[in-house]
Amino acid sequence: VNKRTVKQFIKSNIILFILVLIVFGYYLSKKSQIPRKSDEVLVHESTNTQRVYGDKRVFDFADEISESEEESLERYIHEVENEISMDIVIVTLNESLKEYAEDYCNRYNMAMVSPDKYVMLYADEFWEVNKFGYDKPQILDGTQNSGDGVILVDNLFREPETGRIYTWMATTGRAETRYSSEDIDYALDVFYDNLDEDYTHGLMSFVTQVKYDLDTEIVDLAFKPFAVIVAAIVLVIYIIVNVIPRSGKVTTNANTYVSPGGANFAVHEDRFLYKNVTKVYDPPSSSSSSGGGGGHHSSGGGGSHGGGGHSR
Amino acid sequence: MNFQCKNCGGNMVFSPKMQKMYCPYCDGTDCEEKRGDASVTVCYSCGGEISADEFTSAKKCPYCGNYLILDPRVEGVYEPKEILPFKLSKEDAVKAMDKEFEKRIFTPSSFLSDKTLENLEGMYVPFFLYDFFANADYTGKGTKIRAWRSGNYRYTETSYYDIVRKLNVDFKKIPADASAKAPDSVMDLMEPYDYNDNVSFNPKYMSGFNGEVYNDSSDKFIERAKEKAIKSVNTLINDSISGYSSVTRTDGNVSLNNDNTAYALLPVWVYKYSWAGKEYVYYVNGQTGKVIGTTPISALKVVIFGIAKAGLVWGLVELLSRLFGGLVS
Repeated sequence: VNKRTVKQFIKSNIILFILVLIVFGYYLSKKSQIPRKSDEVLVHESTNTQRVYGDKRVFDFADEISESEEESLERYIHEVENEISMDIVIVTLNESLKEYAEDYCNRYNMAMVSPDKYVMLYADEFWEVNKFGYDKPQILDGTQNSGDGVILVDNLFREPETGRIYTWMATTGRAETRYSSEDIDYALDVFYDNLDEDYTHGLMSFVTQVKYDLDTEIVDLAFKPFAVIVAAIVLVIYIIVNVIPRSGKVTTNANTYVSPGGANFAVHEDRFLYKNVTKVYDPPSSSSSSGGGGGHHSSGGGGSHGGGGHSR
Repeated sequence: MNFQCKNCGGNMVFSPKMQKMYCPYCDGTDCEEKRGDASVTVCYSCGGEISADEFTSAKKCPYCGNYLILDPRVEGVYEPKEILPFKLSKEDAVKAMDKEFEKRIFTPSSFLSDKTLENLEGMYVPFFLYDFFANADYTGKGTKIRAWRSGNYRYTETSYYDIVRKLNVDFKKIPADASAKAPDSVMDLMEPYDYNDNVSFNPKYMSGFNGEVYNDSSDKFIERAKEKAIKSVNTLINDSISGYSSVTRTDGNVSLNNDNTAYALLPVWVYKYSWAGKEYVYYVNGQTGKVIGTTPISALKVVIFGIAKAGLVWGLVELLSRLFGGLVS
């Protein structure tokens, strides 16, 4: 590698060099303000000792699953919790939440919510009151700094207003930062897709999905695969572009050897023949989806939750 | 023949810079005297034997460096109608290559060194310049599609057209090289030459350069020129058809009438460079300075610098994604 090549390389990449320097400088100046996600020890023992129900995670109020199923689900949840350092809570209900929601909204001076959000209120409050959260119970300060975990509430009671069953997945703390509305939708889809076969299987699949989602997060925070992929693409393109021998560009065109005014159209006609029109019935698509991302919101009590619901 | 300085007897050469005959020994200009006669393949100055192959028309004496022009190869049937004298001096050709290869950073450092530049030589390449009159007919079908929506219905309107073109084109001086030594693809890339600089042939322009005569008669090379003419006609027709969603050619024909052919010599600087046991040849248009040729590439260097570049990009994206929180999580 000679000097000339190095010089030329720097010259042709000067903008990139400057960009890296600027961004690096900016990064250093902002470093203290960036959430220290990647430095965090992500996998750790639970430090929450205040949970009202201790180690209990499955609350089958609807009596949908057998004792033994409940036990094995609980075991599985604990196993996953230790791997991803998140609480996973599952609640099944079979009761109208209308009165509960009215009461909740009155208590916190909120406008009444629609039936699909009854489960949301329930999930948020259940989480906060029972002090779930792998790291510590959620501090109700409106931030995502505490109460790591997810809760799934499936209310099998069909609210008379809509006749549907509503399900809510709420995310708190680190899980709230991690989960987008799309991811929540997807996790709920996984639950719905599997519950017809067997209800417990649906719940198990949901837990597996959460494990997958949050496991990926741990890997992602270690390094950004996106950046590595971009760099790899750049490398491949760079090698291809530089290894393919270049000879020279064609610098003649269609008119190069035509004498001045030497190209004349004796006939230049575009004759219209006929036309036909086809008409297709295609009404504007109306949404048939009954799900919906709840996104981020604050509970009446002031805790920050992410969430999304589906119905069936 | 060769050209001798009236003042000092030195070998005079054509200077692209001055566009005059020049004596490198006494700096005299335009004071040449033609010497010699037919079939001379012996150097006037040193008496050395000049080995010339069957197409050589001008050559440098390998012993004393004087330039000889072989009379029988520039006279009679071999007399070019026109010649485009070199516009670029040797130094200009080096500059043109330097500029071109500056961008290709993986060329070896010896690439344009003084030592290897001894292998840079000017060459008059024989060309036939063909004039054609082209008559082209074209018919095709075109469709135009328009779509819109009204209420619960989607409408698609397709309009059909007949496309008819008759085009006459007068082509002047489409070049095709008549030398086996000059690769066709390279000579095509050398184009275009500006023929406004062409002059009537005079052997003095060849002094100081190598030269060749056409290797075969003009009808042997005409197909290449025809191809260029047909390509040009097709492009002109295609350019005249616009505004359609789809076009299908149904019939078409191009007839070419070759009404004139001229034999001409066009200037090319040729640089031979050996690297890692392989010979690379570069061509510089002696008029425009356009450079053609592939450079030797060290794959290892490319990989090293590729990794360096990828590292920079990785750093940039990594920092950005940390700053702005997971572009892709």
